This record gives sequence, structure tokens and C-alpha cells, in this order.
Amino acid sequence: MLRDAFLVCEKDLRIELKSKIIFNQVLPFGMVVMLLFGLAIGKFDSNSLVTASGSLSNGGALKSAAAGLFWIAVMLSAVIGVQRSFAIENQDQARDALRLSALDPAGIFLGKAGALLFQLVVLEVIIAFGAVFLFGMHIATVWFFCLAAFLATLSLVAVGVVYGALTSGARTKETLLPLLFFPVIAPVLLSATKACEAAIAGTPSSGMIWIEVLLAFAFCYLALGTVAFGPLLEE
Amino acid sequence: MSEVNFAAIPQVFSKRAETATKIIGVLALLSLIATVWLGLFVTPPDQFMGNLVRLLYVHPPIAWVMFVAYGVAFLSTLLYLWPRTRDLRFDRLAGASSEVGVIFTGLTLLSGSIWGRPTWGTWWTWDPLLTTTALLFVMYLGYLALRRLPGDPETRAKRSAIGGLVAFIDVPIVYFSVLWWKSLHQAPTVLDPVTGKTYIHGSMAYTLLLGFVAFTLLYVYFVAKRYRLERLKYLYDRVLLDEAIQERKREAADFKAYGADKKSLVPTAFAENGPALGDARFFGTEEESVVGGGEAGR
Amino acid sequence: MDLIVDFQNAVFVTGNFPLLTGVTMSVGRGEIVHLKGANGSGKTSLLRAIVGLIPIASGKAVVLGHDLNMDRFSVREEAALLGHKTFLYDDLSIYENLRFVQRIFRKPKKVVGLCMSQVGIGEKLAKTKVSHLSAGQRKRTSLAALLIKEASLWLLDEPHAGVDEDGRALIDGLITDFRLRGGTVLMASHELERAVLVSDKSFTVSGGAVTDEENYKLGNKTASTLSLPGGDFYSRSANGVFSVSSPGSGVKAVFGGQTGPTGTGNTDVA
Repeated sequence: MLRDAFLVCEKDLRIELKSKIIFNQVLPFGMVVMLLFGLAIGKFDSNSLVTASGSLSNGGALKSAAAGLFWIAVMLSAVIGVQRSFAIENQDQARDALRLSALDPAGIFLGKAGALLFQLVVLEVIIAFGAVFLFGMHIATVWFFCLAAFLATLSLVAVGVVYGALTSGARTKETLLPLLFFPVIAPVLLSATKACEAAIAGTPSSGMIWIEVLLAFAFCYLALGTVAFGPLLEE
Repeated sequence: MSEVNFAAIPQVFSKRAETATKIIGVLALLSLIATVWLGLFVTPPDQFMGNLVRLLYVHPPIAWVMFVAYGVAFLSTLLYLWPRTRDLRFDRLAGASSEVGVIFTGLTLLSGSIWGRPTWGTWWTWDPLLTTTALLFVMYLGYLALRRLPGDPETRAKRSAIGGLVAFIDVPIVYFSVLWWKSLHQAPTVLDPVTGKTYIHGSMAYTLLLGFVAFTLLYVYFVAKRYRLERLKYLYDRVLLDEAIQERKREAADFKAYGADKKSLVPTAFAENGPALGDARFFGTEEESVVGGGEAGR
Repeated sequence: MDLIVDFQNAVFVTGNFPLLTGVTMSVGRGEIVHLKGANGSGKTSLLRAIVGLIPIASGKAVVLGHDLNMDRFSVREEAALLGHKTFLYDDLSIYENLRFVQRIFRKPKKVVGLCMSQVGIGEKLAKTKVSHLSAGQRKRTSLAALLIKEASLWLLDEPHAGVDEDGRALIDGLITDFRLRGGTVLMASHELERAVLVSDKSFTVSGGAVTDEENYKLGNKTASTLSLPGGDFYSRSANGVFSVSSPGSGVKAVFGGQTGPTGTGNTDVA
């Protein structure tokens, strides 16, 4: 199973290395979303800039919502990432090749999830820098931020790959996937935002409970995906 | 297609079950009427909430039906997934029940909002129960969309079961995370509509009880009807499939009869006169054109 | 005879459409079968059903000793499908695609180079992205993938389509070569003349069923010769005897005719 996972993961990463779709399209999309947030709620910042101390980095709404906005940007990118991950298998019916390969479905699930995890983590690092730069987000406890981000990404990826496989055979996959994906990952958004706020405030202990939620979530959906991926591939 | 031949509709339930469904439907209607009458005209207004209390006879029963519906849907999903009890009946039941559940979730949110506006001064609050209910609503809308994806019955059932499981596992996680989120924020606790009514007694209690009975009966009736429809759809699909098989077999027979000389696969009548009007093979249905493209695409 | 494919009234359905409406056929070990039939008659579905990609609805279907009613997964490891689609990742090069296949099936690394040279993919071409390839080159690549799998049963869906004359000769050569090693082939093809040359018999598919069977060995087809890669010749005499010979060493293997495979059919040809 792990060997199969490694094979599939390496293949997906190699394809990304060659095609650079995530890097050239999904990452800029994430940045656009960040800019749009700034435009949508940034004006409250400039108000505070005029009235209050006048310090530029001491923003209001954007800074206080930075963690949440960061996670929304990541999730919007993640759904595109999932779509890309399954578009790879749908080109030229490569999905049939996977079925004929007799690779362990659990291995395929873990492999695809692993590749997506890696890509999203890289993406998050860059978007996080964007948040620091654009929103004036200052992370006091960096390791805690990284831990929360990693667990949240694991959860996103687990649900994403299950739903990606569930919808990838359908003609309406582009519209159906977000509808299924976003409500289910609502607790991830909540927990990740709260945990990251704790990291920003430099009080990891207050964010521990959210780490636990993220852990439970990731565990549930990784287990479910590992068991359920075989039937999903058989459609 | 304009006229429906009711005699030709196959029987899904036994005679007795059909009658029972009808009785339940009538009882549901009667008890609903009684609830409305009692709730609007007989019971007195509450000393604190005034006429608002009348919503109490509707909102909790609707929310209760929502829980029952999702509970039934979840149980039948599990029964479907469990290999020993795997049966398309459970898939149909899950579909029927969650569909009714979604409608009642919408009604719960709506009646809750109407209640909340005068009571709490806002249409909406990020209370754990409310937030979870709202997410449940969109989650199961997605589930219903997933159920509508095409495929053969077994595939569709398996797909829906997994989708439903993903959604259902999420419900407690959503609930507790929102609960902790609110409790960490020290949000003012919202008045629970059920625990808030300490002064219920007499005619009010009976009306509320009747409301529960009425909506539960309504739920059973809806699910029975929906289940029957799903079953009929399944049978209809089977008939279509049988016809399609016969059609294709005729194709094969035609080939044997006319194709032996290897000159033409086309029957002579067709070659001379063109396709006869009404010949489904030529003035065919949409499915057939899908099939033609489908095979090449496969 | 050892039956590789044994279908009795097998029905395969997807959604509301019967792909196959009751197929009865049997294919013995070492046979090369040509599937004929109009577009949409069910040839592709038949090949996909044999390799276990479509769930069986009713009837009996045994492939390579695996009952598809019980298990349609084992057969996937032992049979190889060359589809309409080539099952390749567009963004990877030929070599990377084939390496992936080779690693999936746990074959030694050198097999990749060997198979590429067998289908005439040079080192320079091997580094090209699959999305830049022509249809014929893609086909060659998926042929190489087929060879890497080292399956005992080949299911070829229109192998001759979209391929140049060299490529067709190459495919016929590979099929002949495969038969020399005891392989079994089912091949859907509209290229009657080529297919007749390499096949033992044909099934006609129409309306999702096998409606006709024709034995090429007994028919009075004209003799013909085919040159194989490596200078060998593959010939078919009028009485249906197949033989492979090389200019240097004479006849290497003979089979066919009315008596069935004669002797050397399964011997390894150097």
C-alpha cells in the first residue's frame, strides 16, 4: 500500500513539476483572492489609519481577520487543486489505466492525497507571506502556526480527494465539488482559523483544543478515504 | 405520454401497506388541521411572549422531524454499507428520508428565524445549533445533488452512501467546534425555545403534543410516497433497460438475417423506403445518440 | 483446449443501457481472434468487459480462470488492454510514462528501453512530452506499455487505426511474436485485410452480442507474407498454416492448419 502510495504521489508531483499548473495558475489565483479581500474590507483599514495612531502596519479589520482570510484563500485554492488532481486522471482516460494497474486503491488515495498535501503546503507558505505582507499579519508562535496549518491541510486533502473521486466521473463535477466540499470542511475553517489566531497572539495553549479538532477531523477522513476509495474508483 | 394508464403502474407496496399509507396521510392532514386550529384559536397567548408562543406548536415538531429524518437516513445508509444487509431498499429509504429531511431543515431554519426576530431581535445568530443546522442544510443539498448523478442503481447507491457518510460524520464535529468557538467567545447564551417554555400546561401542552404527532405522521407519509416513487422509477428504468436489450437483440437478429451476404447491414425495406416513421431505431430517443457518442468516448 | 475467455450469455449493463446483451463465445489459449462489427455494435465494450472494467449483470464469464461474477480484479493484472484512448499522462514524457508503468508492475528497469526499441521509439523521442506526440506515436507508446506489462492476454481496440504503414506492420509483427510465445489476442479492427492475415478466426459483434463466427484457417484465403521487424517473414499459406521464417535460418515456427498448433508453437524463438 505504501509503495503504491509513493508511486502515485511521485507521479502526481512529477506531472506538476512538468506542467506547473498549480504554480502558474492556482497560486496566482490565491494571490488574487488575497488582493480582493484587501479591496473588499481594506477600506476600514484606511479609516483607522486616518483617525488613529497613523501607523501603516497597525491596520484594523484586515489584520484582525487575517487568519480567517488566509484560510479562505487556501480553501478556494484547495478546491481547484483537487479538481486539477483528478483532471490529471481523466485526461486520456488514465483513470482506467489506474484501475487496470491493480494498484491498491488505498495506496492511490494516500498517494494522491500526499501529492496534494505537498503542493498545498508550498502554496500556503507563499500565501502566508502574502498575508504577512498585505494584511500586516504577525505570527508570534511560528511553530504552532505551522502545526495548525499542516493538520488543517491534511484534513482538507483527505476530504478533497474523497469528494474529488466521488465527483470526477460526473459531467457536472466543476459545480458539484465545491457544493459538497465547502460545507464539510466548515469545521476545518473554524478550527484552523482559531488555532492560527492563537499562534498569531502567541498563546499556543489556548489553541490546543483546535489542534485536537483538526486531528480528529483528519483522522476520520483519512480513515474513511482509505477504506472507501476502492468502490469510488470503480464507477 | 399525455395520458397515464394508472392500471399499468406496478404495485410497490402490498394492498395493506397502501391502505395504511393512505390512512396515515389522512390522519396527518386531520391532525395538522387540528394543530392549526388549536394553536391559533383555542390556546391562550403566553403571558410573556404573547401570540409568538403559537410558533412553539410548529417549530419544535418540525425540528424533531428533521432529526428523525436524518437519523433514519443515516441508519439506512449504514445498513446499505454493511455487506450482509446490502439492499437497494435501504438506499431508497436513505434518499427518501434525507429529501424530506432537507425540506424540514429549511422549514426549521425559516420558522426559527421568524421566531428569533421578535424574541432575540435578530433573524440569525451564530449559535451552535443554528450554525450546525444551516451547514446540515447545505450539506444535504449537496448530498441530494450527488444522488441525482446518473449511473446504474448499484453505483449510484454506493456513491450516495459514501457521500452521505462523509456528510454525517461531519455533523458532530461541526456541532462541537461551533460550541467551543462560541463558549470561548463568551457569547450570550441563546434562549432555547424548548427549555424557555416553563409555563406550558393545559391546552398548550396538548397542542404541542398534537403538533409532534401531526408532523411525525406527515413525515411517515412523505417518506412512504417518496420511497414508492423511487421504487417506481427503478422499475421504469428496468423496463427501459429490458426494452433496450430487446432492441439490441433485434439488431443482432437483423444482422443475421440480412448481413449474411455481407453486402449490407441494412434491411431491404429500409434500403428501399428509408426508415419507417415511428421506428425508434432511427427516430430514436436521446439515449441512443448518447450511446453512439458514449462508446467512442469510453 | 485450454479456455482463456469463456462467456455464456453474459450481459453487461451500464446505467440504463445494455452494452452487451448476452455474449456467448470462447477463446482458447494461443488464439488470435478478430472482432468485427459496425460502430456501436459493442466491440469496445466486449474488450472492456473481458478485462473486468464493466460489472457483469447476468450470465457466466470466465477470463483466465477468474470468474468475473466473483472477482473482476485479478484479471486486470493478467490481461492488458490497448484502448481507443492511450491511457497516458499528457504532461509526462514517453519515458516517464513508461517508467511509471514499469514500476507499477514491478518489472526491471531495463524492460523500458527494450520495449521502446521494440516499438521503434528512439532515445530522442522518448524525452518528448506525450501531449506533443502524433496519434501514431501515442499508439506506439501505449504499445510499449502493453509490452511492459507482460500480460498473457491482449485486448486490442482498433490497434491499426491512426497508424502509418510501418506502424501497422509493427503491430502485426508484435501480435505474431506474442503468439509465438503462447499469447492470446482479441483484436477489434476495421482493417479486414490486415486482421485476416494475423488472426485465426473472427467473431462478428452486433447488437451487443457475438452473432457470427468465422474460422480463417478453413477459409480459402490467399497466401500472404508479412515482413516482421528484424528481417523475419511471417507467412500464411492458402490452407491456413502460419509460419515464421528468417532469411538466414529458414523456418522457425509453424502453426495452424486443420490440425491445430503443430509442435513448435510454444517454443521460444531466439
